[in-house]
Amino acid sequence: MRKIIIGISSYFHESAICIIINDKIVDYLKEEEITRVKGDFKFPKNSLKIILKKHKILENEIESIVFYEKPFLSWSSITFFSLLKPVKRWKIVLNQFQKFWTGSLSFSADIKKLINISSDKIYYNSHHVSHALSGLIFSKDTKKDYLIFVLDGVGDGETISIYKKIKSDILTEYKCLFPDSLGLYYSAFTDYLGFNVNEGESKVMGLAAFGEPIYKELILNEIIQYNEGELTLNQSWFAYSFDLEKSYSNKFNAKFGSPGTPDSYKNINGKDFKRMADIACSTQVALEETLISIVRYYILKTGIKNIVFAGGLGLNSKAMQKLAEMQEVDEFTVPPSPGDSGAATGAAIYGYMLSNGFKFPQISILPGKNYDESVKANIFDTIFKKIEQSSQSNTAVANLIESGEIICTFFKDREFGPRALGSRSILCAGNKNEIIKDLNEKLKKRESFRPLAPMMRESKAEKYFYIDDNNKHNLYWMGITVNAKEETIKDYPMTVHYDKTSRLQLIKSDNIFYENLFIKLEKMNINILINTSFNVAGDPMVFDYVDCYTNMVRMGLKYLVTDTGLFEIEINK
Amino acid sequence: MFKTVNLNRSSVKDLPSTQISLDFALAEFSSAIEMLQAAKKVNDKKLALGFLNHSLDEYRHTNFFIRVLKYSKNSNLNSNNLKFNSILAYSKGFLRDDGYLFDKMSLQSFSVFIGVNEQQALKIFQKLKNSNWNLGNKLRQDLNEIIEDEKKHLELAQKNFEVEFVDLLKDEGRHASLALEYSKKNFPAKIYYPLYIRFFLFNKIRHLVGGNNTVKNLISYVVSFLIIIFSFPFRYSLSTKNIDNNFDLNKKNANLIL
Repeated sequence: MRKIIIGISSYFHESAICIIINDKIVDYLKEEEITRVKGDFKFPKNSLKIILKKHKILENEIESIVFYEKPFLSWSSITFFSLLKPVKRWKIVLNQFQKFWTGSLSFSADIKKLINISSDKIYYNSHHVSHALSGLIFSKDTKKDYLIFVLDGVGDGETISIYKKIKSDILTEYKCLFPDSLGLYYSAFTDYLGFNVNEGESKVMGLAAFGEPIYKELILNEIIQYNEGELTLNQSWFAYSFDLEKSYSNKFNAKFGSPGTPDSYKNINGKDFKRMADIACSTQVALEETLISIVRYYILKTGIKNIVFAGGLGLNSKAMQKLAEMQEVDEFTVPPSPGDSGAATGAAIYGYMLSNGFKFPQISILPGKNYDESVKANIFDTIFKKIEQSSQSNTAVANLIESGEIICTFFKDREFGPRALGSRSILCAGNKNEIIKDLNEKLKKRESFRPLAPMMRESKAEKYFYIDDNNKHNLYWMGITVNAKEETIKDYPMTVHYDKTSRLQLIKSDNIFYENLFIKLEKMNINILINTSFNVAGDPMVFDYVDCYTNMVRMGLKYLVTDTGLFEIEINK
Repeated sequence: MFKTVNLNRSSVKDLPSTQISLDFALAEFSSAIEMLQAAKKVNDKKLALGFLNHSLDEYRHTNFFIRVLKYSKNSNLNSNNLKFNSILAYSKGFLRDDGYLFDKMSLQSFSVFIGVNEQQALKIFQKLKNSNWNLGNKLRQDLNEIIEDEKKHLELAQKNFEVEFVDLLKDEGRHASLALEYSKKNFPAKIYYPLYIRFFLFNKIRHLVGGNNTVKNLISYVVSFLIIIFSFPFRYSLSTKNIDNNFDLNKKNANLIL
């Protein structure tokens, strides 16, 4: 009989499910992929139903179901905090009491509506330990000792957790509690700059390259107070601890002027754009310097130089580059999905450890499976026309890319982080500047200041980018940015951001489709492809072929390559 | 659009208010999602394609209102609840987390529901068009003192919206008639008309209750006031700071929610 462990993250950010069968992580699914609502945090009942059906999981095969945090601790930490000043924080009080009925405290009840399982098989892991395990599994050697940094908005009331992984144990070194949160600091600036919290943080990171850190000293002197490994934030600048609709206080307006609006970003040479870019740059640089100070302090304190970084702040690939480049760091790892959805993996690993002791299951960077059977009426042949068999598809794709076409990809193994790694990607030649500009601004409707990421073969990368062997594994999943060489800036300018960095993805030689595709493209003088996620801006990545169709129609794209061949879209009106 | 928005006389007067534009964008988005799910779940190929095309229309309409939203002026523009974020479709009640319409209804009920609501949507759009076409004038009055450039931008935006709005009205008319024709053709009158009346009345009541923010706010204030009063004496004894939340492979501890 199979031994099945299910890890779940939910009720706060993107809900997700991770499945371990015997000793291997065999599938991973985000609720947003099914519901098509970006950032869907509801209990993942839709994904749970179809994942159980897909893997033909029987109730008696389930060894454990693990939730990624401790529900009562998570709820009470914020509730009790808000009750200390109940009049000022009444909105949070009310929200927390609504969450008592609809939040993670109902996890067990929600699970039992779908699966007949006894309560003693339902476990709860610490939120930050779930993050830590989801990061540790992607380190180069899980048997080595590591210093693990978990930083996010808040989880179980904690905002920073620093652990030492020594032999077969994980020991807590430091904890910082809500409301002192570097994650919420960054979100407050995201909010002020006019972007959606939990979605716009990457925009702030991209925007930062265009500015000067003119407010860095102000932020480091007045807002972030860091000393000897301890962090506090000056709460008079923030509103997230008492307001649900706004993260920053009126001090932002008094110091930085009026908040950002869509109009602020229309003219990249305009005064308002420069003002916003300077604020973003100051926010980013202050964050990077604080993180470096924290990491340096704990390396000196513990003597451990191998670093794992997880939690939502791990999505800041620019800050991750700065940490990876620290002289004190020997090895640096940030996982493909450092945020809350990735913590479902950590929860599943914890369940695996409860049964097997301190050891890790096997994992790949594309653990998700294909779910085309989720579309009942088989309309694939009606909406797509095959134009090339799979055996010839990479030649045809190479020719199309060379002629300036944009190609969508839909292969059977799915990514599990927020970044497209070739399975659910949109590709075009890295040296066709006009095509790239159109793809970014007209088709994906991204802001012009946001860069697109390059992908290339691992064997060719040294020629174009500065790559450090100790951190190279992060580049298989775009975990960190790297500095581009002059040749790249000259020949592939659109793959390099304004600050001369790129969020590069390296393709390993065992990825047959891409290896063959690049061999053909390189003969056409195309060494680098642009790789952006296969979704319309603001939507989740495509999940099945119907999503491929709707997204392609909405973006006006024609070609789709899958495991079975190359297809052209057929519009049926 | 078959997830309709409550549009009363005062909200029409204030158009394009951020709140109404956002509600329209979310209603269109939710309709797109419902239709997309129906396309994936229906067994019939023709219906699947029909639902798919309907969904694509709704996505296009969503984009239209997101663009309107960007030109809307409201003193609370920087509130998180007034930026388009698809997750708001749940909290504002446009999408329900207990399932999609297609899961909960028979095909015949679903078709009638779409037809009735598309008719309602069409009326709202007509109302919106008649009022909304003062959009430029209203905004021009408000913005005259601010930036001359932005005024020109709005005139241009208004022209663009006008062209798109005509297309949008055509789509809504097509959706309503397709759904109702299908229902009339395929279902007997004794099933069709009771369903039609039921959804028509349900719709009216939903708009009346759903749009009543005063009632919602009043309940919120009363509940939070009571919680604050009752918890006040105990507040200093409540703390989670000393709770052990470390890595622990003890199954008994792992079984606890604290």
